[in-house]
Amino acid sequence: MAMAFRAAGRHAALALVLGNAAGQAGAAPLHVISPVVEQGEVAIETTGDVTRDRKKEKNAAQRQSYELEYSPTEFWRIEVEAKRKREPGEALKYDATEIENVFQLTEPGEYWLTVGVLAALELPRAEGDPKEIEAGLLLQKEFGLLLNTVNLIFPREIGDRSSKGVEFEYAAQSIYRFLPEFGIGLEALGELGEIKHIPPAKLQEHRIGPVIAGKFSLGSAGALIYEVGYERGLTSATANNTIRWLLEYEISF
Amino acid sequence: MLRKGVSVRRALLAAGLALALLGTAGPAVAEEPPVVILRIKAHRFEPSELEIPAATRVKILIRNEDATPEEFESHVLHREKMVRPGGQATIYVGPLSPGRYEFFGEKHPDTARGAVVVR
Repeated sequence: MAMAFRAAGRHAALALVLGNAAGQAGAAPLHVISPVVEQGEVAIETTGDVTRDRKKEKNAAQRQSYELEYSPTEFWRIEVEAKRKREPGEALKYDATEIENVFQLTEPGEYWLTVGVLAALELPRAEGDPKEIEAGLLLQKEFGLLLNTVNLIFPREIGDRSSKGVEFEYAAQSIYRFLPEFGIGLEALGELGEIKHIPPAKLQEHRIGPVIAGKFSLGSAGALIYEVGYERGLTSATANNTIRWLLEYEISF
Repeated sequence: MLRKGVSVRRALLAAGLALALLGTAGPAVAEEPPVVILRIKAHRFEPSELEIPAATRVKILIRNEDATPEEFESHVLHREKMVRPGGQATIYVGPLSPGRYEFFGEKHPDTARGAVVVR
């Protein structure tokens, strides 16, 4: 992991490049992204998912991501992310570095929706893989303790090695926040593929399932945030079962 | 069923733009919400209770008169905002039903406590 972060640090020189970078080409997002930015917040986060399926070509695929986040202004959050991946039957290996920017456009409660935009660049480790850029619309709406978040994401491969045009992915989550430490809800994540050649539904990836999430305050020492979800695949291209997790430590200065 | 080609791309773009515009839609008659001021002084909120009308969107200006940062936080209001020493931050709440909505300062939770009282 230390090597992954050193490599990520070298790529961080491109931190202000805006563009599109897909997390994984042809793979649903790992989790929903909030459009809300808190100035001065620093966070470290690990997130990932693993599949379970009777078919070995879809079983035990795994993604892991390790992120360092900072919000220098009240509307901008930047993250540097080291990503590892395991395809079914292969070993887990370092896959790419991603630099992600979230720009909060509206304050929660100022308008009917809270709106933000995502702009990211992914730099693959493998020489033969294309770079990817990603743009997205991040939306959030609360109804009392029910928090609803939707991400509409458009990744695109770029450069000489690119072979795909703009794709479409989504993530949606609705959580009832019983307590700061515990909420329960439903989420759906998926990808349709390349927009100009959308494949049949059975070849798209869609999954849905329950999620629990919460935040443990540590007072002036920050907070710990967690999410755990279990999703069922809805198409033959999607693994029957996916378990995903997120763990974050944040502190504000 | 989804149609392929340019029509799908246009539909997705239109959907995204429509959602963004919907997000920024205000009331039919555009009005500035009422403003209330909340001060942070000696690691306490002043006033400790903010009274606001029900079914009304309200803008709260939080002014930190201390020499250290404070983080306004409320689970029931779903708001979290860092306020720099000597600085000011803005949050919006409402429309809310009548009731009591508690908040606290995450940096000084023992003393920085308060509530939005909705009548």
